[in-house]
Amino acid sequence: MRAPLGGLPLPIGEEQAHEIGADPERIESGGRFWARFLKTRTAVIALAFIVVLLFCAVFSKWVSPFPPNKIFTDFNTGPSSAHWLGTDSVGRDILSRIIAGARVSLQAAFQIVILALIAAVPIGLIAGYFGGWRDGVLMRIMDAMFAFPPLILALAVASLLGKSLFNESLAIAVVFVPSFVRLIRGQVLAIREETFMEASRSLGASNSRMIRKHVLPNVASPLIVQVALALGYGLLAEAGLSFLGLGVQPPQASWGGMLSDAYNYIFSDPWGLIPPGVAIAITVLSFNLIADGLRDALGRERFREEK
Amino acid sequence: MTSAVPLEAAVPAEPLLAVDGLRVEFAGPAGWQPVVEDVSFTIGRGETLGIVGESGSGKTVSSLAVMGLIPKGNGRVAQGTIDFEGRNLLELDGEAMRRVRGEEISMIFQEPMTSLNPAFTIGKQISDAVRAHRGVSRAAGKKRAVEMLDRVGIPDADKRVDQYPHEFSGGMRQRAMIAMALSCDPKLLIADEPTTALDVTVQAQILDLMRSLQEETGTSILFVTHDFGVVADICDRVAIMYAGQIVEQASVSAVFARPRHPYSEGLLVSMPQAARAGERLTVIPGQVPAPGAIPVGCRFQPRCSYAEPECADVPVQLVTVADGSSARCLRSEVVELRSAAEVLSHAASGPERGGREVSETHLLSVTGLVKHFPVGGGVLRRAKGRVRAVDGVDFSISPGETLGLVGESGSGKSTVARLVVGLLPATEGSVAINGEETLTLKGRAMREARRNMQIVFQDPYSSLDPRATIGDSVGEPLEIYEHMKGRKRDERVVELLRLVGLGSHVLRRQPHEFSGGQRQRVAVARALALEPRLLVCDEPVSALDVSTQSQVINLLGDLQERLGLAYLFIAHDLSVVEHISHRIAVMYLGRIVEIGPADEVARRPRHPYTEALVSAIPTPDPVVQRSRKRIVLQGDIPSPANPPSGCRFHTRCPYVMDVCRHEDPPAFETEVGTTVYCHLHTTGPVLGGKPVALIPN
Repeated sequence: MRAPLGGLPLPIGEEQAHEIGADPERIESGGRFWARFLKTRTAVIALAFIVVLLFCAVFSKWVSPFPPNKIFTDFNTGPSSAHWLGTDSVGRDILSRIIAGARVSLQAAFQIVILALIAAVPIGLIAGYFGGWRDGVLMRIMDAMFAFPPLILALAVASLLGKSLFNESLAIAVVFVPSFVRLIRGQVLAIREETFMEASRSLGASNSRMIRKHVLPNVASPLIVQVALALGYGLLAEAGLSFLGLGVQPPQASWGGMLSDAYNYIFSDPWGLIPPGVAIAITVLSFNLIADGLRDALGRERFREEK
Repeated sequence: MTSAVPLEAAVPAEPLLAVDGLRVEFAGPAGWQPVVEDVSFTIGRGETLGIVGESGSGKTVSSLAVMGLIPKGNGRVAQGTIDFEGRNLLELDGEAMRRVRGEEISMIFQEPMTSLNPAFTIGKQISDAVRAHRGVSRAAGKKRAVEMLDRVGIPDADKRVDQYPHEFSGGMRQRAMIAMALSCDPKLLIADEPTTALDVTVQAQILDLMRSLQEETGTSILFVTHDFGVVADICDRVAIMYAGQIVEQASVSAVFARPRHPYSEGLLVSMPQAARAGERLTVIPGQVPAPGAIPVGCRFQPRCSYAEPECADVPVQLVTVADGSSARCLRSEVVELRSAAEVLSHAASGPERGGREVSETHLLSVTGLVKHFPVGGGVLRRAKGRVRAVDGVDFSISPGETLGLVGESGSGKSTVARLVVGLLPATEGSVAINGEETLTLKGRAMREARRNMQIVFQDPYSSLDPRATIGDSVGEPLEIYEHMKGRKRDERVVELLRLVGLGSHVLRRQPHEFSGGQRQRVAVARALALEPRLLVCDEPVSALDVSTQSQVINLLGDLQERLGLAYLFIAHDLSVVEHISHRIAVMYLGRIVEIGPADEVARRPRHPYTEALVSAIPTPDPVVQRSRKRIVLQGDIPSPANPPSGCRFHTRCPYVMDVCRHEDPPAFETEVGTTVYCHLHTTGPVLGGKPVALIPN
């Protein structure tokens, strides 16, 4: 610590200080993000749907009318007062299986995105921030990963590590990593050129400080949007792999698996396809709508919103 | 090049355009808010009307309304008529308005870098404009493009017509924009700050060009600007706008001879030319009100030094105050406002500062500083060439001294700033602070050296992290160096904020809540956190409005006096630099061409380039501006990748001699303390240290 220079601090033009404080017209509190998000009605409805779905998935034991694997005598029936969504080909209650499947689907979606982020955030930050040979090497690896067909990869993972929900998620996550890395790297490249980065460097900030304090917070908002989108895609991918029998194994319920079962009776009893199909479609749509709402709410706060 | 332009008392002839009672509204959080209100003006044939105002005054919106370009959906013209040759443009349908645009009214914009489409050649863009309106053949369109480019002074127009915008310099692009705008012989040209993004030397070229084209074609011009000097140079009449209204409208000579609205006077007196060297600038306190917070009475009254209580009561009307002049002020008959001549003579009457006592101890000494950027290329990334951004620069700064560094864009001034504070590694040379060489320092030692020199950047909109609070931004250096945290840090941040005139309530706010001037104060507070001895200011006021600019300049002056700071003050605006600096260094293509006491360099330049720079700054007084001898440099600054041989300025120098083409000019020390690098002082008509102006014709 050094002694203050020249009697620091003396207010300059104290009489002016009140007029050159923040302009009340410009004041935009942190709550504005939520205010803006809540204005996009479709996104709010979508978010409410996902919240309800999450609730059902977590508390499925209490919410679902029957145990998902309980077999009734009626099979392949349509909706009735006893079975609101009917029963499947072996006589299990479809509503109960949808609720149980929600748990699998959502768990897979979040697992995929979290696993992908764990790998992608450091890679994207390093490639974008440091550039040079690190960028070259990392991005070529990403290109190679991008070129992998997800199905083949999932088959390979399943045959190596066995068929399980986690292994399936891992396979899908690997495919998701490159797109996250590209997004993060692109953002970092843009932020790196901002003057505030140079200002921070001129103050002697270390690389880790710059990344933590300046790069990450500024990457966060486009990343959040991408996460919401990826949850939808992840869910879809999981359903696809389950449909092919690479995900959770019967008799455990999953939306993709239910579709696969019902598919065998598509001409005689097509009803069974509808509940899991609709569940997948609405859930993916909801994630996309939330992503749109987030993008609109976050977008306007980015750099230079006024000039 | 000498040109003298007569100043005539322009009487509006038969009006070409008559805007009456215009009110434009934009959608705000509380419904439709007026952004422009009760705006009426006329433009005669062949006349140039200037619309002057700071950002947020509604000048651009008014001009967009004339073009019918108010964005639909969140903007609308709520009232008024726009009469153009007997037609009300507001009643035309989309197709009819489209025909008016380009054919009869065309527009040029501020940013020549973005207003041309990078995907098409210049020629194609001009010929498309012609063909859209004239329906001529492809060949005829291209012929017209060549003709227009030639007319706006682009050399080898027949070759350059096939080039893309990125192959044109900023000044060339603005010429091309003008060529495109005039390609269909419009009757009215709307120019929205067409020279703001350009260097003063290029600005002088463009203003000359617009004037001569107007004489040829008789086009009327609506000239939107914030610069009173430019108004004095080119306009016949002026409308001064404040907070969405016209506050004064008069002929150029009348406005400068006797302003009728206190805001007009305020704009004039807050220019750095209006103060004596080193004196505090006059400041219009406060800032332009936001659209939702407009005062009931006179809109300028909260900031007006002549205001009386009754000014705040009722809205003020625009009334005729003299022949052809009108003002929106209750007291325009009572208050005697200062004329431009009075203001400028006050500034000139002050004693010259003289050279500051050059102390023996140098705070900063820079010797032989060189920065070459490799120009990459090829698969193996081998350098193909070098851009000599800085090519041998020497200067020193004493404690408490301000050295101004001026030059056109591309002269290397910002690179010097970054080299000094160690943001860029130097190719060669030495930067010593307090006698300690900094270029070889690394790691911890470098960080310690950095405490003594901090930098303030040009763009206050990007120099603060948009996600960080003001407290975090200002406190960052304290966290890095002093490991201060929490309340202790905040207390110190509040002290610093007070030092730059901001209150403690801004601590938790984010940058987007602040105006440009306030952000620049925050940036200064951050730079002062470690109590540096040297502040490098890289164009700290160029992005700010006139009245905010003077507030920040005063702040820097006060801080210097109080804290004994030394400044390396970089700007392209010589009048700002002259006001704030003790000494001035002029850079051209990576080298200093003249360095010496501020008065000597700015008033009695000894290098032809300095003379041209000084001459290119328009004086905010039409009588002076239109009668003085001006030197308009030809062409643009050459590329630093391939600088001219000998004296680098020889390609544009009006006094060029044979020797200049081959030999580097030696340093010449004059008896007034200026060092100048020019053959004029040693060969040919030997000046021997006398100002360039004394060269016999």
